[in-house]
Amino acid sequence: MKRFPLGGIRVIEIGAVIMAPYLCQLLGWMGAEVIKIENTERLDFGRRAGSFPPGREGDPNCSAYFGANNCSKKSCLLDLSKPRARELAKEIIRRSDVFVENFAPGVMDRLGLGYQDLKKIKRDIIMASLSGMGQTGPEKQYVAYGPNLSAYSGHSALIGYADGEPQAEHIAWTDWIASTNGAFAILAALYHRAKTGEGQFIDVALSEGAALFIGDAIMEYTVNQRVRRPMGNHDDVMAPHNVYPCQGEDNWVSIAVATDDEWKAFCEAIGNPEWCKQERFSDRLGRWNNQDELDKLIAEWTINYSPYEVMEIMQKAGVAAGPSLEQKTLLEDPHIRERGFFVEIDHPEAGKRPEAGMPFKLSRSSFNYYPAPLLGEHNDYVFGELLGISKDEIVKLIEEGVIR
Amino acid sequence: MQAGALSGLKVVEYSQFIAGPFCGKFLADFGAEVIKVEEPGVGDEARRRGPFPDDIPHQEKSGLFLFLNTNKLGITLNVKSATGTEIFKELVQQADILVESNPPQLMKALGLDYETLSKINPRLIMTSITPFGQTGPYRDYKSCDLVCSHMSQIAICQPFESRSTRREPLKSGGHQTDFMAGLTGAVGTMSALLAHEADGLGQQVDVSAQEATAISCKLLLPIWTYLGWYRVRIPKGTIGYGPSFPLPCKDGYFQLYCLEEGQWWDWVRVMGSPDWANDPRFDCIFNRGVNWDDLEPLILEYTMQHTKEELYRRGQASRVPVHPVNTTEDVLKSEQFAAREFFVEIDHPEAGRLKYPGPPFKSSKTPWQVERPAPLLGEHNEEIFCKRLGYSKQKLVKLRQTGII
Repeated sequence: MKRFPLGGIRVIEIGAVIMAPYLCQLLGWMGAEVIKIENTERLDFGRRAGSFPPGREGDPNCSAYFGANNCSKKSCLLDLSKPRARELAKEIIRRSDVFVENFAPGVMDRLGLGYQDLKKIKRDIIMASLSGMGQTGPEKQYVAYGPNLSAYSGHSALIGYADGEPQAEHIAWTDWIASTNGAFAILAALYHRAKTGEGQFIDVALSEGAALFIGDAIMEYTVNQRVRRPMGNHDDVMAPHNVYPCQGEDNWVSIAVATDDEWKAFCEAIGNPEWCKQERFSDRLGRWNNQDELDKLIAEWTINYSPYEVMEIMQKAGVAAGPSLEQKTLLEDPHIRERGFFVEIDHPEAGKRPEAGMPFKLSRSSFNYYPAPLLGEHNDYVFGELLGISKDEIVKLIEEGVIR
Repeated sequence: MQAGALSGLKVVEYSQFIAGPFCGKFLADFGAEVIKVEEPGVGDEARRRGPFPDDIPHQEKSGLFLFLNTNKLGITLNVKSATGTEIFKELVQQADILVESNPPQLMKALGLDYETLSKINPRLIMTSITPFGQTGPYRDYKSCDLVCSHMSQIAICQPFESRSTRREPLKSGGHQTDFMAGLTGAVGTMSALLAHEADGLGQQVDVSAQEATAISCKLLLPIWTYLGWYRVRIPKGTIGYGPSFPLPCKDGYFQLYCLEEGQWWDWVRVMGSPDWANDPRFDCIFNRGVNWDDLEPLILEYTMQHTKEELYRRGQASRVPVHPVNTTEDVLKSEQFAAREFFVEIDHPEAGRLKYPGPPFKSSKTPWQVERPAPLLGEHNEEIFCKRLGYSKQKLVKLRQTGII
């Protein structure tokens, strides 16, 4: 029988939007039992954000933003503004291995759910707090969303056309970095706990994980005090290295030539036109110095083909190339399909929808894919089975607004 | 020196440039012993990339290599020679983890594919980080950050909102897809390691940089599913709130992003409550988007008088989500990064003392730590080949003379 990597591990999430939810979805896919503590009064932004299937607009059980980041979890309700709810949250966490949250620094402490409180009731708890700029430091309470943090971490200043202004990165790129980074932190802490019995507190600042991802540019400053600027689709050493127009509308293909051998193969693949023989293109430096002209000449060739045709011609010649895929073409791409990257999730309320699956594959273990929970779908399981609260008492807790 | 979270684990890293070494760095920086295998004479491609101090190329002074290979032991081995392949297998036999980023067909040709290696070491976790993964028609295709940015859907969405939507799609800055593939490989390795804890068996972790990157577009997929289309690279103002793009100020650029209506009105007060703010064209998120071309110059009247630092402090004092568009220099000088001691100084025998980006996160019991700088090319040959594998000094000399190490 195939097994899940995190079978037997229980994770509690009090999270919203992307950082903690996507991280915990990764853990859920790996087979951990993830319980998300929610509140109907203050819904996770994802439950309100949409998109919604036709006819279900505004239904928090059908929001695809939520569905995309909360698969393979259970949901229970607690209004943490009430002392009894906070006690119950503690009881749930006491029966768990990992607690993940992404509220503003200090919020969990005020709720009595900070690491210092939790380790008293569960000595080896692993707690991870994710935030934009960290749990400490003078700017920890600053307000920030995805685009702010791309700017702050140094990413925005590196993306843009070579002749233009900096751009915001594609939506929430740095959030996915933070979630993946946090997942590594938690898995490493679980490994450490298995060896030593020790739990710990993990402080994930989105800005710091993001800064690692521009480590090359940061080193350029520390080594030579040189500030990097946007350079479009170009590269420091490779040329040609750009995206070129193809047949049809908004169809593009990227091509990167790394070596002189690849350049020869490239020229041969496009039929050795006269311009290929020009001396200024004959070595790497010459091509790099004259790349704008080179780009124009290559575009005159690519425009006669589809992006996939160019990819096939180039890859056959041993040159890196590939189309600029958008949603439809990515879904239909034969390679992506053969690898089964997208999985179909059948949600009881929202229906069937393809969903991006795990970002890696394991040859032996399997992953646990099931749809995102309805609001409070697992109240009975969590409060009844896990905490052993009687049915009557649960009804009372609902009436008192503790469970809501 | 505290024991790291991964101390006791033995890792062999046979990969170069960014993705594989970044994965190996995560393991090494948290305590695993990582033996990095490099090609004799030339070494990792990152050694040739720079940046080099004063722009003088030197294989021991590449900033990129130094950053990505902290805490590793370095050996040289011509894995492609028959003797080299056998020595490599000896190393793998003693290892818990192999991190590699070579074309699948090369590993197969060398007899170093997972199927073969798992026979000599059934508990081996083999993490393979390649552009397109181990299966599928593109598995041996060539790629790089540019091609991966474009094939994973992120480039076609960039710039997200701009004045020039007909221009070409744009890759991200630097090598985002390589870093993401490497980090994803580190998560996959840990996942396999925890599975291994249960039954002692290894497995292959198959990371496709294309997939690791495409994950970040997962929120676009439902829009496409429900509407049947998704418009990429849209005109400025389409989204309304925000704006989602940087705006200029006196000394550079800043990012304002008002997701909530109240935040916009707080921002209006930061700007000194100009009369135009009450114009019906700008009275709600929707109208501000529709009339963005009229609105932008009015905002700039204020922001061009102020530095990004002033806008940052003033905005945040009023709880407005406004941040500077930091250059790498700004990030290195940031008070917040400094207060959290993110940047660390590391001494290296050839490159000297430099500032490096530090911990990816803070963990209270098993902190990130630097025990040693990146290895010199072949620095640990004697330690690994003689002390670990038990080769005699004479054999080592012979291996050197014949170009195996």
